[in-house]
Amino acid sequence: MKKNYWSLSFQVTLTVITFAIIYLPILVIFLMSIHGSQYNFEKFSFTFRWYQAIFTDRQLVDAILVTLQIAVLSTLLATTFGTLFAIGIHSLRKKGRLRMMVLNNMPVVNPDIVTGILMFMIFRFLRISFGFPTMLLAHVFFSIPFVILSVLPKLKQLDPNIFDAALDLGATKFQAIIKVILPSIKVGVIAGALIAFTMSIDDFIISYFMKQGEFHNVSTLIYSRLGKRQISPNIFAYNSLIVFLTIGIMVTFNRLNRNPKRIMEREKK
Amino acid sequence: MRKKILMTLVLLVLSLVLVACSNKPKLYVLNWGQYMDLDLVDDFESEFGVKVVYEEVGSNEEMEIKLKQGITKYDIMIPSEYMIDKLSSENLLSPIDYSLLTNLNEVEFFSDATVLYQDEDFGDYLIPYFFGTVGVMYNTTNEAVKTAVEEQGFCALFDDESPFKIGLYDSPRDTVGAALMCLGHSVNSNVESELLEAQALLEAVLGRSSELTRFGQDDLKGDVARGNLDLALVYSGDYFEMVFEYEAEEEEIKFDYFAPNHTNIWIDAFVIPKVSENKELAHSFINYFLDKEVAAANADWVGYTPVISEVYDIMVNDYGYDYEHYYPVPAGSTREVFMYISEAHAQELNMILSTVRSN
Amino acid sequence: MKSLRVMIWPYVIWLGIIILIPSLFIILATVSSFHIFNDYTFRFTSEFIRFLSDPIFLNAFKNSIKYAGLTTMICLLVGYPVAYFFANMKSKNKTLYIALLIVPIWSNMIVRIIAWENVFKPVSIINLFNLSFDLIGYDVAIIIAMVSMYLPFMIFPIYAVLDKMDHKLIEAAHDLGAGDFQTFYKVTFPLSLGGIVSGIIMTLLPAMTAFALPERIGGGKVILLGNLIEKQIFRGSFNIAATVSLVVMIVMLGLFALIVHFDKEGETLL
Repeated sequence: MKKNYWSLSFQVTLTVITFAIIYLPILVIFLMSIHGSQYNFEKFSFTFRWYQAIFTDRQLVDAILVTLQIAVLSTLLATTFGTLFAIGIHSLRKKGRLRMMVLNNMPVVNPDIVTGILMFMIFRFLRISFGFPTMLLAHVFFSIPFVILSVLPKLKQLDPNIFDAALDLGATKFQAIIKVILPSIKVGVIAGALIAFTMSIDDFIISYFMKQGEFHNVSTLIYSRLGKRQISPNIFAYNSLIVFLTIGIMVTFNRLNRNPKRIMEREKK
Repeated sequence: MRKKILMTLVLLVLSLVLVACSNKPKLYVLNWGQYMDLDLVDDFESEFGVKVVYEEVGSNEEMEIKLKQGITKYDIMIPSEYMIDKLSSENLLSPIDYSLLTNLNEVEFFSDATVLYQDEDFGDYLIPYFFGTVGVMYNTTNEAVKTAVEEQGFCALFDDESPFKIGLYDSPRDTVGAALMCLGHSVNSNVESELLEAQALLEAVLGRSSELTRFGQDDLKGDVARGNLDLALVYSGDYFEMVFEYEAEEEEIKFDYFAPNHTNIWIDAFVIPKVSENKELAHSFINYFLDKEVAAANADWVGYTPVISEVYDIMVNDYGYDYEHYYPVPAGSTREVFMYISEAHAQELNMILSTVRSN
Repeated sequence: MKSLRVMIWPYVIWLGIIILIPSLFIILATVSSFHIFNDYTFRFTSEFIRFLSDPIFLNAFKNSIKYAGLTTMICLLVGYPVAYFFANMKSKNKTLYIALLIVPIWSNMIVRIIAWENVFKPVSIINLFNLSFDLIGYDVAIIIAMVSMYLPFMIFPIYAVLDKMDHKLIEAAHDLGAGDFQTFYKVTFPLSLGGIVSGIIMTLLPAMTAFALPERIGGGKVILLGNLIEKQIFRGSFNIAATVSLVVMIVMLGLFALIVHFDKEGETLL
C-alpha cells in the first residue's frame, strides 16, 4: 500500500505541475489585460480599458470576424465532406481502407509549416485568389482528416447490415445515409466538428501562408503586429475573454450532461 | 426543435458570409506597418469615390517579393531609397508625372533630402515621404550607458567588454551597416576585408553572456523604454514613437536617442510600379498626401519627420514637435544613404547575420 | 455498403492535388532553379543540396533535434503519469478535467509565446509579485515554454488509449499474481505504446519546425529548421526553403512509417 501512496502522490504532483505550467501564460495574459499600464509595473492599477479597446480597434474586429467566418464555414464544409468520405472509406475492404487511412493521415502528421508551403505553392499554381478563398480551402483541407478520424470509429460500431436493410425497405441511398447512418454516428460527427472548429480558430502557420493584402485572421494579425509595433493589451483582453468563454461553455456542458433527467427532457423536444 | 436550430445555423452562416462585391475602382497600396493614418486613407476613399486596398509589410525585401510575385498589381508602394534604386534599375517602376501633382506647387522638399537622390538614376521615380536616421536608443536609468553611447557611437553596440544589454536590429543592412560605420567604413561597403571586420565585431558582442545581446525588430524600442535593454540600434522614428506613446500614457520617459555624426539616413518614398493599372489614380493619391494639411495630420499620426519643409514647420510650430533629433540632418553631420547593392552583396550580408547567429 | 465506395474518389483526387503535386514541385526546387516567383532561368543544379552541408543548416538541424527532442522527452516523462492519473480517476467530472487541459490551446499560440517572453524578461508584469527573471536566450527558457505548449498534445493520445483500455486485463494480471510494477510493465505500458507514439509525433514534429517560439524566446539567436524555412521563403531563397522543407518531410515520413508499423487500424491519431 505504501507503493500506491507514493505512486499516487507522484502522479498528483506531476498533474499539478502540468496545470501550472500550461496555465501560467494564461494567467500572465489575464493580468496584463487588467493592468493599467504597458510600461510601468511597479504598482498594480486595475482597468477595463483594454477590453473596451477591443471594439475600437478596427483591424482587430475585422480579423475576429474573418476568423469566425472561416471557422464556421470550414467546419461546416469539413464536417459534411469528412463524414461522407468517412462513410466511403468505411465501405472499403480492409486493404483499401488501410491505404486510404495512410493517405488520410499524412496531412495530420505533416508539420504545419510544410503543409503551409505545399498549399501556398499549389494555390499559386492554380491561380486561386489569395485571401478568403485560399484560407477557407486550407482550413477545410486540414480539418477533413480529423473529422474522418473522429467519425470512423463510430462507423465501426454500426451494425453492418443496417444500410442494406434500409435499401431493402425501399430507401434510396441518400435517404439511407441521412436517416439511418447519420443518427447513429452523430456523436462522432459532432466531435469531429468541434475538432475542426478548434483547429481553425487557432491556426496560425498555415493561415500565415494563405493570406494576402489587408486580409488577416486573428493569429496572423497578432504575429504581424509583433514585428511592427508593440502588442497592444487589447489582444490580451480578447484572449482572456476567449478563455473564460471556453471554460464557461465546458463547465456548463459538463453540468448538463451529468444530469440524466435533464438529458431525457431535452431528448423529448 | 431541431429544425429551428438548423434554420438559425443557416441564417447565421449566411449572415456571416462576406459580401465582397464592390464596383468602385480599386487602388492597391503597399506600405510599412503603422506608416500612414488610415483615417486619411478613408477620407481619400470618400473624396475620390474609390476603394483603397491597403496592405502592410515589415521590410523592403517583403515589398520586393510581393511586387514580383505578381499576385497583386500594386499601384502605390512606399519602399526605402535603396530598394527604389534596385527596382528602378530592374525596370519595375514607372516615372513620376509631375504635371499630375498639383500640390507640388505649394510645397518644397528639404534640400538635405533631395540632394541624396536627385542626381541618381532613380531620382525621377519617387516622391519622398518621410526621412530619418539610424541611431542608438538608450535607457537613461544608468548614466554609464549615456556616457558609453555618446563616446562610442555605434561602437557602443559592438563593445564586447560592455556590461550592458544590447539590442540589434534583425536586418542585415542596418546591423552590418552599423558595424561598418563603427569601423569608419562606408555603410555600402563591399570590400571583403571590411565585411569580415564587421562580422568579427558582431561575433564578439554576441559572444558575451546569452541574456546580454539579442536581435529584434520593432520590439527593441519598447524594451529599451522599459529597461529590458540598455541600448539598441533603432530608427529615429522608433524613438519618436515611444516618446509619443509615453507622453500619451503620461509615463515617465527614461530613454533617449543618439545619432552619431556619421550615420545612415533613410528616405522612404512613394513609387508607382509599372504594373499599376491605375496610374492616374495613384498620382492623385500621392498628390493627396502632398497637401499641407493632410501631410501634417499624417505626420502627426505617424510620428516620423516629413520631407516637406512647410509641413515640417507646421509640425514644429503648430503641433509642438520641437524635439531634439526631429530634424535628421543637423549641420556638420555626415549622412549616407543606402545604395542599391547587388543580389550577391545582399546575400552576403544575409549570410553574415545568419552565420554569427549559428554559433 | 460496397456501393458507397465511389464516394472516396473526390477525396483521393483532392489529396493528390494538394499533397502530391506541390511535393513534386518541392523536389524539383531542390535539384534545380525552379521557382514559383516567375523570374528565373531553369537549370539543374546541386547548389541547394549543398546547402545541407552548410554550417547554418547543420546548426539549425542540430538545434531542432536538441530542443524538440528534449521537449518531447520531458513531455513524455511528465505527461504519461498525468494521463495515467486521469485515466484511472473515478470521477464524474473526469472529462471536464481533461478538457481543461485543452483550454490554453484555444488561446492563441502567439499570445502565449508573448506571455512567456514577458515572464523571462526582467521588466514585466511579474514585477508586481516582486519576481524578475532574465532568461531570454537561455535554453531553460526555451524548453520551459515549449513544454508548456506541447504537454497537452502528449497527454491526450496517451490518455485516450489508457482510458479505452480494458481494466479487466489489469485485474486478470493481478489475479495471476503480478505485482503492480509488473502489471504496468507487461500489460499497461505495451498496450499504451500506440498512444505514446502518437504523442511523440504530435510533439516532436511541431516542435522541430516551430519558428515563432524560438525566435521570440531565443532572443532572435536560436535558429531551428522552422526559422530557416520561414526566413528563406519570404526574405531569401525559395529553393533553400524548399530544400529544408524536403528534409523535414523526409523526417516526417520516417516517423510516419513508425506509426503505421505500430498501428494497423489507422486509428492511432485519435
